[in-house]
Amino acid sequence: MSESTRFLETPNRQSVIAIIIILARFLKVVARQIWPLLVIMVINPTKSWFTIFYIVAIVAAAGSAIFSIWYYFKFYFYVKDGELIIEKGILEKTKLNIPFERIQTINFQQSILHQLFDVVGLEIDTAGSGKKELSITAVEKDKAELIRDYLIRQGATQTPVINDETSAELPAVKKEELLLKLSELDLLKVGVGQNHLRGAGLLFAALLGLWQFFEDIFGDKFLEDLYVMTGIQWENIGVVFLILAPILLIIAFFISLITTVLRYFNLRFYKTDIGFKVVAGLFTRKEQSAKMQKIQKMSWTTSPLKKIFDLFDLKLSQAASSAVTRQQSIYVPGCYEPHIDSVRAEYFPEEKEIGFESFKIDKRIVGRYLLYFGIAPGLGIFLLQLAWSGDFQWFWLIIIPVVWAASTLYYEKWRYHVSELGLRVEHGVIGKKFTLLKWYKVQSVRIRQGIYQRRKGLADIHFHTAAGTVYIPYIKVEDAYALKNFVLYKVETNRLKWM
Amino acid sequence: MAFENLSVDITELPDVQQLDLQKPDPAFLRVSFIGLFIFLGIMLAGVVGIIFLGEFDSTPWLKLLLPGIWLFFTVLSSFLTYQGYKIQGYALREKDVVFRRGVIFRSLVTVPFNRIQHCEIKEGPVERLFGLKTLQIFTAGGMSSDISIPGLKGENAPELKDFIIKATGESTFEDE
Repeated sequence: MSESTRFLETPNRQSVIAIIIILARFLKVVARQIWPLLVIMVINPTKSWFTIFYIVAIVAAAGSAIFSIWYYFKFYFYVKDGELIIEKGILEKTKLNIPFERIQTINFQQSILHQLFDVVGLEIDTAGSGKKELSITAVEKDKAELIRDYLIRQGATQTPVINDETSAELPAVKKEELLLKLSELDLLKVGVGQNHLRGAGLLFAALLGLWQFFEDIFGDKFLEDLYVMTGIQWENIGVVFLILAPILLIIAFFISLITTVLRYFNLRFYKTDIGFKVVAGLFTRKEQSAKMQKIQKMSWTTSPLKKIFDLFDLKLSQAASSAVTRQQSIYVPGCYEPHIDSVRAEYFPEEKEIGFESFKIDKRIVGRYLLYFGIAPGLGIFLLQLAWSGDFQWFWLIIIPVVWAASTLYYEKWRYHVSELGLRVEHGVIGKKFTLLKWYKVQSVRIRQGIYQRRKGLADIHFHTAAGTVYIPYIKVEDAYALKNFVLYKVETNRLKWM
Repeated sequence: MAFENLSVDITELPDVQQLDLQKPDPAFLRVSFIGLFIFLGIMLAGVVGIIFLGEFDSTPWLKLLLPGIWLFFTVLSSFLTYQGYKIQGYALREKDVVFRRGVIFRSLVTVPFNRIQHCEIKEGPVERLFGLKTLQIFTAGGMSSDISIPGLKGENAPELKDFIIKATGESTFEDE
């Protein structure tokens, strides 16, 4: 162990700032629980509400403060016998041993509080077990960098660590090559290119919840008042939807624009000597890194809006326990084609040189999807409605041509490209998603057939990896088996470590 | 045949389709049915409870519909359980283990030995009565990638586990 990281051998407390951050987090949780009280108090200011509110607030604040300080004094971390050890807990004491080689990634997180005091939060992700992620709330920044470099390096070399003086000779500064820096203009483009329909849908759902809340507070008179005020029958859900849809879409547009700017402000994407690193965020600055070895598959997506700007979103999926999948992927919005190409060359260097054979999926998928997602639900609801109330709600039948169009597009766009060393698939309905997978990253292969597929000699093939599944639907069953045999042969004869 | 661009002749590779699958122990069928009947029994109790305690004055046909649904479900699930037993099976090959299951959606999963993380033997209370065990094989690929082979005879399960662990241990890796 080198001089600079020697401090790790004895139990360390976090930075004192941790107390403030734990307290802030705790208060945030409490505030989230009691904000309806506050709303009611403003609307209906009686004395008893005030008293209750103050008592709750004072108890909560005092309790949180004591808890935070106590928690701080009971939290230690140190390194011993090739393991990072974290001891914590007030009533229930926990001791966590994390062997270096199990550490996947160490991410830095900086909320605005962290930035104010120049500390960082450490999140440690481990392989395999479904255990919750391990985190250290606040450590001084320089210390955090030392810890991360030390742990990642030890994990990568997997050498025994105890008092290894030679490790001091490793270069302290890592090589970093800036691949992409998101300019203000590109950031704006990324924001505009988000999926606003989904945002509007979420808003609509939230609004329905809020509606309930207002009705609870104001009672039945609420709807009448609203009718008098606006002259609109708000009970009719169809009318509400027609009026609200464009408004919600506009609001959603601005919300996704703002969140994009907050999340991806000043995004920088680096290639390091062991993998990749992304740093981004305005108020909460987040840093994520991934070891090249641990990246299992990569995918990049585009949508009609993004296509106008020639933009792609890139995702690098790392080996992870399924519990924390979201955080294990490195996500880089706003990449142009050259950026994608350089990452592809890094993940799959041979891709450009070896030959790929391209295939389509079977056309019968259109009819099946039309039946399952179009005719069955559309006609079903229509007939039920008819039997129930006797009126023809033709509206529901619209689903059928929509699903037909969508499944035709889906079929037309599906391509899979097979090569000696890996697979590339592309598919989508409106946008398009590309996925690249090297065969030796595959963990297991599954062939799946429904009743119809068995009758028609078709099958789906799934390639499971440690970072999610890549699958090809509706191909000839002989092809599925041929591909399966080939991939198994590739996996079973390959000696490369998949992680 | 597709895939002409690959360096090995894929018609020569060991084919997972041409396999003699090892069937679960016959007692496993009984275990499955006991489990199913316990579940159906609880459902029936619920149905009976609703019929005797509920109000059906305005919708008397519901009184017939509920047992009807229960009966339909019983017939269907019994059929699926029996068919599932007939279809289920595993096979050990030189370098991987294959498992087939599923009546409506049939799936055939193959896990190479050099991708197995660990194995576990499990036995439920009903299984224990019949001296059966389940072998679970875990990979890093998550739940959908793991295999769970039920209906193994008590003495066979540890043997199978040892065989797989030994085969797993023999696979070695090199750095990239």
